[in-house]
Amino acid sequence: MSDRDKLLEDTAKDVRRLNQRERAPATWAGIAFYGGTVGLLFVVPVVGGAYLGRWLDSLASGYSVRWTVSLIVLGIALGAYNAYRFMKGRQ
Amino acid sequence: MNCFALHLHDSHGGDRFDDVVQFIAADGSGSFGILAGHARMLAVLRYGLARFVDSAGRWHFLSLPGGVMSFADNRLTLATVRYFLGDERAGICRQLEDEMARLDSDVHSSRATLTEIEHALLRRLGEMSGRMQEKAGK
Repeated sequence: MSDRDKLLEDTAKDVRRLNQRERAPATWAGIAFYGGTVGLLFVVPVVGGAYLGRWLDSLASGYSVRWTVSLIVLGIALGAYNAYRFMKGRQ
Repeated sequence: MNCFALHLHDSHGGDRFDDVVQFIAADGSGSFGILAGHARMLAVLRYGLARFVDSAGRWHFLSLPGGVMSFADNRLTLATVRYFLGDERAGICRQLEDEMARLDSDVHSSRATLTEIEHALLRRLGEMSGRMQEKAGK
């Protein structure tokens, strides 16, 4: 086999391999990993915000949930942005 | 987005891309990818397809008969005998065949021109030697 034929054959083989990989159905492990990552990216800022808000509220005199609610809302926004960026980057 | 520069060199010249995000190729041990900020590395690529994506998200495909790839100071340098660059994965094989056919045609026409030059040279030498013999005869 000449160098030229080998180049053509190996290139065609690599193209076929890439096409097959794209067409291959997603595995359960892959779906779980992807979903878990998106979930963590969303949940961690929300939970972090809630804990931080609760601690800040405990420093205030009397009953207060202002910081807790504010930081939970901020965490939801941050988590949604994180998840969006991750999903956009994977496309 | 972190980018690095890609310099391609072959016997016909080269190309340069300054906004490469990821480069994927294969050597004897298998396929690997390189991102910006990678440690210095050197690899001998195998025959086949390599690909890279720029900051706009466009994939470019390289068909090459092996080559030496080095990455240092956020610059990837690829030296090979000849590479073929394409933007469509599906069409790169056809593009490769077309390019090879064009190269064959160029080589064929160069050979034909060379043969013509040789014939003209021989004819001229024959004429000159004939004239010299005539002069010697006089």
